Amino acid sequence: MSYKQFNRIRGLDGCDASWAQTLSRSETHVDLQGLAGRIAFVVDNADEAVAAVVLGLRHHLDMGIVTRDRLTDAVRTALYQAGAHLFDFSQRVLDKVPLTTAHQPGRVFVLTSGTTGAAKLVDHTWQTLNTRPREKALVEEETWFVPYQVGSYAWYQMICLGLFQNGQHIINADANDLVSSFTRNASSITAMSSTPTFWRVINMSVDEATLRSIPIRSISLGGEIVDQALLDRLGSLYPEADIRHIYASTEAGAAIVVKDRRAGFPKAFLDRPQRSASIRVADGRLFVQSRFSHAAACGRADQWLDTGDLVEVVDDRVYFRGRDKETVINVGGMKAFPTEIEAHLLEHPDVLWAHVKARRAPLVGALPTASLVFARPIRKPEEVEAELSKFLRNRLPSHAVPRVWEFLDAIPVKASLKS
Amino acid sequence: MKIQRDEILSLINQVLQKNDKPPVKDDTIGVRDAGFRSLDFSEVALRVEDLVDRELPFEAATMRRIATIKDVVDFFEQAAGADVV
Repeated sequence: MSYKQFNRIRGLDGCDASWAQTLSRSETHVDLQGLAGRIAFVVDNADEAVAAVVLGLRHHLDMGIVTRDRLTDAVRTALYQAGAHLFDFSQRVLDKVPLTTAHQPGRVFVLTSGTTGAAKLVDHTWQTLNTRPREKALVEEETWFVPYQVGSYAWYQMICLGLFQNGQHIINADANDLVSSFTRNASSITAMSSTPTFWRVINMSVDEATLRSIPIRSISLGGEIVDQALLDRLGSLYPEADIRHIYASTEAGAAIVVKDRRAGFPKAFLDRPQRSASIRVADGRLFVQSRFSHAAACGRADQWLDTGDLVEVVDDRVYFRGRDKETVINVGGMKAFPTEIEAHLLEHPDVLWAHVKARRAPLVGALPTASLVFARPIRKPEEVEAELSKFLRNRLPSHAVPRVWEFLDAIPVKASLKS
Repeated sequence: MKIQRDEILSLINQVLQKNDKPPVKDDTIGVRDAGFRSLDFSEVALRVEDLVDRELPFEAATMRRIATIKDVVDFFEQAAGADVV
């Protein structure tokens, strides 16, 4: 695919460079002769990631991006099993694996934890990641602030916008301090795609005058359920802006775009044949068929995907009601998996039974909470809590460590003999 | 049930210490310098809610003014309708 060489990327140092300049630097930095087979670029920040992306696109590499902080043993194993060689972008060191799979130029993997918590590679192509063509051509030049986690599906979508759409420029965010990064670039941001949580944090962290001064014309929300209060707040801050919320996932691809500033989506969208995606509801669950899906990337564009998202039709509107079973807790846009947390808790010698669930919380939307039954009488609850928190911090990311604990005397058993 | 300022500070310190961070002695310290993150704020909010037995109102404009640990205490004191000691 050809890309827009003169679109710009603003780096973490605040300097702008075109894609052509970025590519030129990458080609100087990396010895392409050594990059055969499937490559996982290991990067430290968004600047390195965009440099790797344009290199991979231009040279038809079979590739993907992994940030160093995600490179856990589980992720290494997933990459190894997929036959991906790790290439340390800053050190220019290639770590070859003996197991290799068929080389597919132009294939792009997206690393995801899915709904199960297990790391996996979802295959895409630049065509399936570039979801914008189905919409009207972008006539305005825009400068997009990109707060998404580097290498995620949403991040690739934004990078593809910068790569393939005329006049769409990108600002790389500093993942270590997103709010400061946003504030520093506020006067340049004309468009942003983010989770609702990111806007809530921005709303609470940035003063009103600065917020109102941002020349933003386009706001896209996704990754979480979008509530009416946030839509109203953004509408009041930016009355002239195009505000939309988008339903998309790594597996389903981009499927629903809602532009009427109302939560949920119009019932009329259901079963309506669409150019790129169709949706339907069965037994209160949302099903998607999209040409931007993982299935489409594998040649099965007509496959219907059960998203696992629960929906409710109320009059002329369809509202999201959460996930089927509580397989994921959304902590400020980051996933925590109750079954995974419970499994780790049960590895502790004193824990007999564990149940983890979500509790609604300010700022981050939800926090994991744990109910436990111990194999023997416990010491002071606060000491046990501190010990278990430390125990889990060594095994899980901090957002997945339960913040509120309940210690029960006995395992609660339902009539079904389930707990 | 209402909650006192020293109880709120004690909750903040419990959360900090549980996460291997030193307790706050001078509440004029900035939240960032204290290592008091958004996850910690959310946890303290839930603990205050448990103590006062109701959900707290969270007003964006007030939260935006939070810069120090004292501001956090002030915020929860106001949100929970606490008595000043």
